[in-house]
Amino acid sequence: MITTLEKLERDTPAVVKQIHGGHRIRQTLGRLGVHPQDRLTVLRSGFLGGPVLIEIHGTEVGIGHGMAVRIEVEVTESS
Amino acid sequence: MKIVLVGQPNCGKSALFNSVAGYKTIVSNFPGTTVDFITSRVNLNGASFTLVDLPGIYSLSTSETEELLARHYLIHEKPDLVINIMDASVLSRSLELTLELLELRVPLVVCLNMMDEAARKGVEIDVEHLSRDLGIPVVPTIATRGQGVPELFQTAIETAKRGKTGKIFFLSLDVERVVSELAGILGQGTAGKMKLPPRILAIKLLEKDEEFEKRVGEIQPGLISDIERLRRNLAECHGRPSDVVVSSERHSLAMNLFEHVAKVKARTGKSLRDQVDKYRMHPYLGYVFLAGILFTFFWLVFSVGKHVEEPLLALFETFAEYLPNHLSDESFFFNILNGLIQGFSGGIGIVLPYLIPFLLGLALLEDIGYLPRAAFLMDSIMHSIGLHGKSIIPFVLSYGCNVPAIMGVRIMERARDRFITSVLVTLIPCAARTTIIFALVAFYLGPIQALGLYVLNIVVIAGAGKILSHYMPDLSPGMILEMPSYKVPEWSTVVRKIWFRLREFIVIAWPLLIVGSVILSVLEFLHLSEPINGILSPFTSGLLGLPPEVGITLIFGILRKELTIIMLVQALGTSNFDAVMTAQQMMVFTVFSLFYIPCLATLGMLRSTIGNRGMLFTLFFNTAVGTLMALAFRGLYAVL
Repeated sequence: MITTLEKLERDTPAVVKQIHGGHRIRQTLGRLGVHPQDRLTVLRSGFLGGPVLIEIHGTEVGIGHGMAVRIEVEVTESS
Repeated sequence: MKIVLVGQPNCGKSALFNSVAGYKTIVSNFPGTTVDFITSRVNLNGASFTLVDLPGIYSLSTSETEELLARHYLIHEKPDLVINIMDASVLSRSLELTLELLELRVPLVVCLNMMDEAARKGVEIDVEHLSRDLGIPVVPTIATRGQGVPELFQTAIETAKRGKTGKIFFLSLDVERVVSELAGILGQGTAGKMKLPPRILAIKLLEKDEEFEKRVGEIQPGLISDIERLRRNLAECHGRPSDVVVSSERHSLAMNLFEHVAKVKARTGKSLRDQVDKYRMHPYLGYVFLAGILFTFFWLVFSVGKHVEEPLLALFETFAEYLPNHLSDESFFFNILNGLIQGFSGGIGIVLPYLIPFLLGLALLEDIGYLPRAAFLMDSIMHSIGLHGKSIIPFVLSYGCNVPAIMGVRIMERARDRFITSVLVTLIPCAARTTIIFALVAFYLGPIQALGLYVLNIVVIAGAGKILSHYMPDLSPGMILEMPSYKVPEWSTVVRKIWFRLREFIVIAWPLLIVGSVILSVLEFLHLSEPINGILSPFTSGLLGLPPEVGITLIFGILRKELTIIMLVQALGTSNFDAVMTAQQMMVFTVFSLFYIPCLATLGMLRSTIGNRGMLFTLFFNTAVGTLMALAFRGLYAVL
């Protein structure tokens, strides 16, 4: 299932498919270790337009709603 | 010899720096604490060198000011050696920066820090293997305990003497072909003028680095079309923009390297952090937790402060009472001495009892790693006033003192966010302004009114935020913030941090406090406060309906907010305020003091953070807000 990051439920493992937007946004996300094809797990979902907390490469990263909607992800069966 | 520390934010860089260089930098568990370059002469086991602590950088590709400054330093200052510090527990991500640093062709040593944290996370690293793969020495350390630090610097000095640079990692064949074509073109002078190896310049240009592209355009405008051609070339072959192609290549190189040298064991059971975060980061309970923590924090600070302040002040009062027996209270000397005692006791009795517990609480929250979590939780709320979660940190800091808060504003990437946050932060009552609220409103009018003032303050800040962000709309996609692991604070770090911040108060603020008190005494003796009050009286008594004597206190409040109450005692000739001021006057005075011109130190900090115009804007904006609010209260009391 392909969706965007802010729609994922808690504890969902997923793979980043694509990052929409200009190279500034890709750069910002890449700096903190978020790239296409990377595996991540949602630790806290972005309810009510709030930010999403993910675990990626062993670190936790908080991503604001505005940025989460630009991250296209595919939900995987297990991490 | 010059050795530079480079690493991603929160990798323990400052802790390492402090362990050898004494306490010159503030270490905390929040990404991006080092805001300026801090340099120290170090003598270690007979060797002497200059150590430079650069701001944390995630990558050499960046558009953030702080990271650009660090990059500029690395390229132009030609260090003899770079120590690349990494958080061993996030090795795969850290290696991406290492791959970029290798391209700079400077002698390099890797410091694999936080080995204890990596072990806790189940990450096992083959240090020898990593060193062989990178072609440079790798030294494991636990900097907070000083473990491995002597070995690290010994290795660093030896490596610098040999001038040993590491391996270059090649990208896949077709990408490498484009990189070398561009590097070839850049190698004919342009890269040399920019003091960069042609290869890294080529890579960064393919990654669409704006700063480097601008520089190349200035040196050799004809090259821009070549760069664009090669970018298109790469994009067409891969079906993705050239920056994505290059950065994914580096990313997969780092991932491969990581898999080569590290084993990740499945963690048995949930860690303490998971357990704790389940509640702290919970959609609803998280806010209850946050409110609870902040409330407990301030309650502790003020209850401790109050218990220490009262006996201390009583002590000084008795001392002051003895004075007239020995000196005539009409003499010039008496006035000076009285001013000295007032200033001295103002520092000891009013500020220190609150400042020390506050700094202790703040240092603990910082070092445990709770502040970034607070930022995360507050993101959607801060969005409603046009800011991001990150600005909660300066906001919270500001209740202690506006000065460190404005230093904290520098963690924000965008000038717009820095500007709005700086202006709003100065509207928050710092510990000094809190003493005004406590001494006048809480003491004479009741705690409910005092609490009401805090609520009103937040409402006014939200309103001001709305207005400012209306004129400076937010165009960015939002926050992205790393959550560092929770750590047990090291007492030595906490104590040193408190001392470091306290020292600023003792050497800068306290002398000013004493000098200010003495100056006021002299002004009184020479009867100069009256002309000053006279000049201000159309505003103070005409517009705001206050006793004209308060004019001078407002002037001194600009010097240091701590002076306001002390000066009010002096100016009115009593600390029994309700004998000389009505409830309305106390409220109006407090409200105006809450918002008007920030203190001198804050203004200085504002100037260096948001520039002269920003500082002047804040000055007028805050005075306007203060006047409007004070007038509103005057009107409100008149109606009631």
